[in-house]
Amino acid sequence: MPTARRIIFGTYVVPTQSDTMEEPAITQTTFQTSPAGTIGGKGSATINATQWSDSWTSMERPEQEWEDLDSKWEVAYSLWNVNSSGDATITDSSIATLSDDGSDLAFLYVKNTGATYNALVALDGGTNYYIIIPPGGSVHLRGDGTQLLCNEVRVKASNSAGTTIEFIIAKE
Amino acid sequence: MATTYKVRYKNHCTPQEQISSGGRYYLDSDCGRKLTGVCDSLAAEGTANGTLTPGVSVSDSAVSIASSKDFVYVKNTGSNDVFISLAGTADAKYVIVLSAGEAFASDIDTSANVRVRCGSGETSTVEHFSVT
Repeated sequence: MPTARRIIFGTYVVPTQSDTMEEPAITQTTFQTSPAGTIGGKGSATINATQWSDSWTSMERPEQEWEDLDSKWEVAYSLWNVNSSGDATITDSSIATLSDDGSDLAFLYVKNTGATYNALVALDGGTNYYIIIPPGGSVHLRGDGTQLLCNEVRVKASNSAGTTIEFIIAKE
Repeated sequence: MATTYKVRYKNHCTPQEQISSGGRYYLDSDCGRKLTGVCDSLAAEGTANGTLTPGVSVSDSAVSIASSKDFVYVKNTGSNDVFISLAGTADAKYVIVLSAGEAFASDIDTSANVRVRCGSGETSTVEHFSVT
């Protein structure tokens, strides 16, 4: 067991514009007039050294040692659709509750590892899916420390064909 | 000459663990790697573009910085924590926090109303960029 855990994180945004030349096959790409460059930020989140479960990341794999699953192996613990790549499969009806723990959420990271459909994230138990993650994209956020709980995060796909995600959901 | 606009963004993180008190941090062995996602915003592909608005003062009263938008970026450029609500209703909880220097960027549903505020009695500043 580690004595401490933290997550270093950053955001990087590149707004560009492309102008088509006289010959349309050629374009010139520059930064948009505003902000006229890249924008972003970075930070560090301290999370609990003892997490709510080994499932606080989606990196569990079929080849993982059963001992790492604590006592739940003997009650038919499921690896929740985790495939061999470490991704979890979701659809528009198979909504993922990333954690069943009621602790305050310290840090959330979700990446849409699918190729076609968006992943949608709710922070209120599944009522409003305000956050949209396009294929290949990701989102991260720090919880406010008092109101957002781990078990209030829901993720679903924008289409019944589904998509896959990888995630970190860490408690305070 | 036609002009098209695009916003590409990346959110990345590195989980770390400390194995002895006061010692150095290593890549977290539960995760095993750094995590990164890169994509083009769904909103900004085409004719829409945005404007960076810097130096927006934030107090403990709510300020709406983006509604009916498809992409939002917010950075805390002050020193006190800034709390974010995405909810479309005024009584919503402010469940996301940005400390100094931290940023949030994501595609969002157009029903979201992005509001920011500080803790009681505190002030800060933010910069924001959004695209329809």
